Amino acid sequence: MNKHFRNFLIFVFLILVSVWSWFPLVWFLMVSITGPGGIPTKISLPSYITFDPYIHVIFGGYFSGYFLKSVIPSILDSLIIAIMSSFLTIIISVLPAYAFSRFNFMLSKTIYNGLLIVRMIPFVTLVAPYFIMFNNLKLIDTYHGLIFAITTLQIPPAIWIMRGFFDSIPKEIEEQAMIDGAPLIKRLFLILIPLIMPGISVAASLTFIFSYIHYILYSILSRGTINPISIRIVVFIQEGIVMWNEMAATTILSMIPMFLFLLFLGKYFIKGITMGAIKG
Amino acid sequence: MSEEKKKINRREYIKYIGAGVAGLAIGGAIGYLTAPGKIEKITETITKTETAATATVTQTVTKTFEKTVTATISPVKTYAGVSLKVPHMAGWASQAPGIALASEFEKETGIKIIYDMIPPADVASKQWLEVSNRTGNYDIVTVGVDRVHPRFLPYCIGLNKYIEEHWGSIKEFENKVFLEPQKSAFYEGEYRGIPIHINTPFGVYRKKLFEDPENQKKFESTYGYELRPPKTIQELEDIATFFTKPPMYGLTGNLGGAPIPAGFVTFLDRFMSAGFDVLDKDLRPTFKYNDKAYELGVEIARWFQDGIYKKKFINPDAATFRAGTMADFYISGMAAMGIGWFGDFFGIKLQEKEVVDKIGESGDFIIPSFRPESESGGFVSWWMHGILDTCKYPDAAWEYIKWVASEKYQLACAAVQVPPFKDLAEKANKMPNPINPKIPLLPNALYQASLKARVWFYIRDAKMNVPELCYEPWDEGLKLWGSLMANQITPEEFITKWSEVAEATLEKAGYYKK
Amino acid sequence: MKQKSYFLFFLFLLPVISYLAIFFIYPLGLLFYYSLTKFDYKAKVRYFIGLTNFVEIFQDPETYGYIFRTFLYTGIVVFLSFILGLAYAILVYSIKSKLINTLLRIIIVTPMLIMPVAGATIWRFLLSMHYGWINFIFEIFGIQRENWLLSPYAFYWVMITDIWGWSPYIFLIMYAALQQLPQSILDASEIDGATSFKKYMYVIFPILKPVMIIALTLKTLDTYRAFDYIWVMTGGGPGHSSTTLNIITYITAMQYLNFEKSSAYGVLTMLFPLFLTLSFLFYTRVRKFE
Repeated sequence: MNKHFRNFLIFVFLILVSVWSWFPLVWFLMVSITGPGGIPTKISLPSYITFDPYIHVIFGGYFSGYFLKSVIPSILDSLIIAIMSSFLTIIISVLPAYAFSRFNFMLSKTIYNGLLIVRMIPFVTLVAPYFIMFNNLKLIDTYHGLIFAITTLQIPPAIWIMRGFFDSIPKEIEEQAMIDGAPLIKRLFLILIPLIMPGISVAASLTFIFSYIHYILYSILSRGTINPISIRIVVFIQEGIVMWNEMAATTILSMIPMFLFLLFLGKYFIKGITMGAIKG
Repeated sequence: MSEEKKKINRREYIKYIGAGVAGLAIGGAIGYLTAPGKIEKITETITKTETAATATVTQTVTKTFEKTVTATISPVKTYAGVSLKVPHMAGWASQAPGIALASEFEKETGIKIIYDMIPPADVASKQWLEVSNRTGNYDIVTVGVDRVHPRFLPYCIGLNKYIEEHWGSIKEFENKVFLEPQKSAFYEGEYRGIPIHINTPFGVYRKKLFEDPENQKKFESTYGYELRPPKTIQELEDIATFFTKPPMYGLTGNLGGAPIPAGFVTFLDRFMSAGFDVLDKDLRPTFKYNDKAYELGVEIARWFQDGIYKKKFINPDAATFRAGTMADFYISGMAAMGIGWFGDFFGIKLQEKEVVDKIGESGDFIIPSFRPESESGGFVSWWMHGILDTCKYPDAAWEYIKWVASEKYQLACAAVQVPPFKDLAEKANKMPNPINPKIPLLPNALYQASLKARVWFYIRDAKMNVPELCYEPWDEGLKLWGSLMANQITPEEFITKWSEVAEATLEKAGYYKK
Repeated sequence: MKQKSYFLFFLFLLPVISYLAIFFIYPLGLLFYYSLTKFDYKAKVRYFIGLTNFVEIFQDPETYGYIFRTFLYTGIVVFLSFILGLAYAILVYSIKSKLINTLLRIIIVTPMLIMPVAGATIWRFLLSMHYGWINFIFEIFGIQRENWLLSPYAFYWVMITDIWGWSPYIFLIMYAALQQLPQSILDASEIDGATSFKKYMYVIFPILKPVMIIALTLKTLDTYRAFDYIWVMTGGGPGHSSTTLNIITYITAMQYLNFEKSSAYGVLTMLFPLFLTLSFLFYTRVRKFE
């Protein structure tokens, strides 16, 4: 294929992909920097620009008869839950992922496929059982309670992803290390896990995002002390509230931590590892 | 070869250490943050601004009503150290002014109120989980009529003795409160809930358009009577048609179907205000067993459906509107009139300077009845507080409820809801709105409509509540209305299908034993 | 040696098994228990009614529609999301410039970062009759304005939104896998004179197959449970035209407050794919022995 034509095609795809991915967000961005009545109905800029929604949403206050609390503590709450949940998930999932990848008996296959069920269960059916259980264990409305709940749902995909990455590491690397006399622990932690970093970063990113945007379990398992941002956003769109601008501002703000997290994770790990490991 | 391998190992080692250190750093930061007290520190500045804002509002509210509000909480024993856990609906404009006054209550009685603000969609289910599992995590329940409060009644203590103490006698109480809806809180011999909120649909219109001489001349010459807020359904249609010049429409409404309740409620409101109940004295659907009810139901459904699709005097998006989006549309100036849940918006939002500058002043009108000769109350949204039987301090809980039912709280909220007590409602209707003193605090149309409004599942002919209507029949109603609004089913199908579901549900629940 | 393997294996699995035993097996047990009971709110007792909930579900003619729509949704969304995600990954992988690469990654991943609730609300607005940009664009192309979420196509618009929102998920996984490809093999194929297309088809895809299967499995299971977009955009409507098993499970619990029947729906939701998976596994195992 002609190089120029190829580049042109790629360029066209780039534009299409960008427009497709971003146009809803662009619209919402515009809603967030205008006030009531400024929402654009044709493809144009809003009729007037103001950053009031952001001020309202960051500092809170009393607007149009409705009292708005700042969303910053909510974002912090969601961040805490998401980060801790990522950690917990990875820690719990790494060893099993390795085990499934290297040990190949019938039982292992069965359990591995059995993890499917965890991922198949509709969240809402967990609401009542979790509620009762967490209430008895006094885990309601605590950070660790919510973290435990959301981690449960993240473990299977983390195991599967990391297992897939373990699988694609050629056995030779491990065999060489074995020949060199490295015990299992050393092999695992010094060689394999660093090689798996892209897999770990993917699993961690997905867990992070998923925990951050989750709604239903948080809504049942919290009682006001902890206020994840997903619940705050949901409240905005329900009956009677006419604060589209503030909702848009909240949504935009809530996306910033996720951007930062992904940027940090992606850049660091993938760059660092592909430089080092591939050369063997 | 082994040189290279050693290099790789060392590099990996360093990378791993680096990652570990980063991980520890993050972990440490999080540990620091989650340690009790640290989050509070970080959000302290933010909270300070919030508190300042609340203080300003509380001051304004108190000042506004200082002269007129004479009642205070009657001298009570203070309940030092008692705290009450009260669930409430998050983002509820109607109750927000009252809730903002909670600190005053705490000061006067020593009782601490801990609110759990629940997103609207989960209000019922979350409370139900707590209540049905007897967790004791809530002391008071906050439940509304359009969905589920009958379920909670068996779990609430009887309040008759408290009522007698505070109002003098049950009769006195029944005279003071809006009795029709209150009947639905009666269970096994006692009232188990005290109302805190009432709302009902009414109409708003843009005065500027109606008072314009050009418009008046043209209208009168076309239709033969003068241009003014509609008094009959035909007039409503005429005026709406007159003002429709897309993208501007004569009429908008919150006609959304499932999961939005507003559309089906609008239908029920018109049906009930024409004098009918959904069930007859044998608890059979009137749509199926009463010709007049069937005709009326079809007529109402057709009026709204044709209004959007055939005659086009209602804006098409209204078929997806909830109260908020409808208000938005009206405020953007795209509608001459609106009918629906304007209670949350008329008193404050529609009187704000920005809005008035943009679309002019708004007036209110009672939605015309489809059967003016047999007028009756329409659909009421009625919310109550009850005291759970797991509450350890029922007396303290009663103090809170008394306070919510008191003049101070109710009048603070009166700009955006109807006080459920006749004397307070009347007072609010006579007081000027603080933002626009030309109109009453409680708009006339809303006041008049709410005096008669009733609970849709309290069947007058059978003198009983039928709470099962709140589940499958309610949800099917929402869905069928959605299909109707999407022009996918005929009004006849809408009415017939709904009756089938209602009858099947009640059959299963054992209402037709014999 | 085998002894050691078994022991090691179970040691590695211990944390997961114990964690899931508490936080999953137990609630699952409760789920099955609830699905066989009924709660009388007046008498305040829960009593055993056997399979009545399930009988009710299967006697309801709508149930078959729910099941069908669930699979329809899953099939279409997974297929298109996967293709789109893979296309993204290949596209970004082919870009050499680091700046554009990073920028593109941010752009592609964005839809997944918007809370589904917010994303669905945005699309609802965009699809509305007068406010929405979509109708505005359609008008330019001569397509008539319509209230899309009230039309027979509502369900398909939800699918489009879901694909928009979750294809970055596939992208992340596939892109990381591409990153991990041993450079040696790529160089070798280049030397052999393979064109881009051949390179991908015969070299890269086979290596990526395990990761692809995992991505597909994950996406299928998640889409099977898809809830947020459908609920916020159409609430299952108009009528039942976009109600899937998950939606009705939610409605039964949170709106009818019938947690018992909802558990029955939950069991049904879980068992169906389990049944399919087992039959598939059984079938492939039987085939292996032939």
